[in-house]
This record gives sequence, C-alpha cells and structure tokens, in this order.
Amino acid sequence: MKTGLKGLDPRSKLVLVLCLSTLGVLIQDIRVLTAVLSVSMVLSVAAGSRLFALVKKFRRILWLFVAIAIIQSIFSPSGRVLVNLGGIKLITVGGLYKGVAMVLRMSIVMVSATIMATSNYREIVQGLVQWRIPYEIAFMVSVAIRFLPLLTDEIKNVVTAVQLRGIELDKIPVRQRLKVYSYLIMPVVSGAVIKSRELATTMETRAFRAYPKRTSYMLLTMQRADYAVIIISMAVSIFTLMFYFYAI
Amino acid sequence: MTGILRPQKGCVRICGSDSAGMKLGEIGRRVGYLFQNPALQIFAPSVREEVSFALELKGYSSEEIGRRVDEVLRDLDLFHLQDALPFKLSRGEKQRLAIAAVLVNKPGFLILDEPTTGLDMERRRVLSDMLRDLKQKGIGMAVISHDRAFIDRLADREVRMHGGEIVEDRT
Repeated sequence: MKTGLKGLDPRSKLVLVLCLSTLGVLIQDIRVLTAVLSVSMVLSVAAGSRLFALVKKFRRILWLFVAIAIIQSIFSPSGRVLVNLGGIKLITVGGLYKGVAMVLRMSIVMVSATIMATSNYREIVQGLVQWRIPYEIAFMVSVAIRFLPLLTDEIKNVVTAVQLRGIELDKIPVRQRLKVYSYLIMPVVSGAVIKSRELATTMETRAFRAYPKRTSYMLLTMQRADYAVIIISMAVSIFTLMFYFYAI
Repeated sequence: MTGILRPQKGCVRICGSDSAGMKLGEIGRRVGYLFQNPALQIFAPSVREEVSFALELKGYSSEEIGRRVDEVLRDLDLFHLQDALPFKLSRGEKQRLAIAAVLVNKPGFLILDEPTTGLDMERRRVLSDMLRDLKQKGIGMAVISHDRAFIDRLADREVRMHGGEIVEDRT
C-alpha cells in the first residue's frame, strides 16, 4: 500500500505540481527560485520519483542548460560587464542573473513534473475524468504521457543504427554531425504518425466512443491527506506570491 | 556482441580487442548488424539515401558510392524503389533495405538477426546466395534465425538455444 506523498490522489499531485510550476514561472528572484526548486526536489523524492536516476540519465544534455543561461545572458545585457568581446557586452551580471533564473525556472517545471510520473497514467486519466474533464481529452493526455518514452527509444535506436554503420559521431565534422541529427526527425515523426494511426484503429475496433457515457471500474476517492495537500500547497503558493510581489 | 548491451560477465573480443572499451561507431566499422526489426534501423528520407548515407559520411567518391549503391539495390531488388520513402515500404522491402544498408559498407563480419523475416521464398534464396558468396570471400557471420532450412544451407556451425540455454552445438 502506498503511503505519504506516494499514496496521494493524482488530482492532489496535479494541484501541487501546478502550484510549484506557477511559482517557478511568476517569480524572478534567484534566491526564491532556488528555494522553490529545493522544495520541488524534496517533494519529488518524497513522492517516490526516480529524480536522481533521471538527472543521471539526462546528464548529457546538462550542457544545454549552461548554453541557455549564456545565450539568455548575451541577449539581455545589463549591469557590470564580465566578458567583453570587441566592444560587445557578451556576459553581464544582469544578463547572467536572468540566464540562471531561466534555468532554475525550467528545472522547477521539470522536477515538479516528475511528481506526476509517480502516478500511473490510468490513475491520471481517471483523476481528470472525475474532475469532469471530457474523457477524450483526458485520454489524449494519457496517450501523450505514454508515448513520450517511445519517442525517446526511437531517437536512441536511430543514434545506435547510425553508429553501427561505422560512423563515430564524435569524430565527424560539426556540419556532418548536424546532418546526422537531422535524420532523427524523420523516424520519430513517421513513427509517431504510424503508431497513432494504429492506436486509432485499435480504439475503433474496441468501440471507443460508442456510447456517450462511460462507467469506470476504478474510482478515485480523495482522502483527508489529499485535501490537506491541496489546501496547504495553494495557501503556501498564494502567500509566497503575495509576499514576493508586495513585500520584497 | 555489437556493443549495444555491455556484457555483465566475460568479454566479447572483436579482432582481438575487448569490445567493452570500443565505441559503437568503432564496432560498426568492423561488424555489420541487422536489427531484428528493420524499421528500427531505417531513418533516411529515401531508399537510396538510406543505403548511401554511411558511405557519404565516410568520404567515398560519388562514383564509388553510386556504383556500390546501384549494385546492392539491384541485388536486393530495390532499384525500382530507390526514390521511395522507406517508411512506406512493406515489411519485406524494409528488411531488404536494412540488409542493403548493412552490406553496402562491406563489413568484415556480419551479425544478422532474423534476416529472412518478411521475405518470400525467392528472396530468401537470393539472400542465401548472397551470404554464401560473402562467406566464400572470407566474410564471417553470425545469423540468428528460426528458419532452420536457411541456416542449414549456410552454417558451418549451428548453436541451438532453448530457454536461454545452449541445447545443441554442432559443426
């Protein structure tokens, strides 16, 4: 039996995630964003997500975060100049501040989303349906969640297939490497289209939408802990935003 | 054997070197690998590009690429489909395309996972003849297949597996 945050109703987890993401999007201050990110990480681990395994898995794209911070810094210069290249303010204190804030914001959204991944997709659909969201839309959300790992696999397969033809990706020139990466798009898009067609056919054969009203074997029931999580996360978020916008 | 999965114990040696320390690209230069599901190794927007892709990146001249691609496309009865979108091909055509893309690189060793899936009798015979030719040229190969007749025509050594165990090993 799931206990603590792990056992929460997916709807309460969704509210929690929405609150964390809202704070991440609206707040600009790096210190507050760092605090929100820390809270998101603690809650994600407490909810039983494989956060650190995921970070390890995606460590290769961490350089992308650094690149985003630097690019953001270049395009919004302000304050003291840290790096000056031929009269162009390449990195400034203000720009770097905004870049770091952007990276923190993205991290908050991604880390908080891992909380949702601790519920299985069937529970998420049921939660949305019980929130009176049309089943078709809830089902679309669940399909999107379910298909994401398949798309990742598709990309991995292409990279493996390219390398197994004797292409050492780290040894070919950047221009050719870009061409190789452009090949990733085709199988991923065509694979998604083929799979969605097959899924649509399968659903039709199983009489999807044959009746306007569906009943469900699985019914979710909100417990006291769920209401507590919803109330506390909303209250803390509203308080944080009020404090941030009116007191700081 | 191809380095996609690393061995949990023991080691796989390719030309005397432990494959654990080799990159996939390095292994791919020596070993041609056909996936069990050919759709997983097809990615280019046309049949011709799928076959020529690796040769272009390896810096071969356009005449050499044209000659090798034409030859392998004709051998595998794909020449008339050279401008087709690979994702729209039938299962058997995809299988032949994946084999063509492997063979065009002229690897020193081949690992073919269920190469006859989706091929009709005539094309199985053609593939069998091609592999026999390669064998005579000194190209080694490991073929994983449920098609006993196909294996019997080719193999010098047959290892039969059941439930993850070797139940027969004969030459």
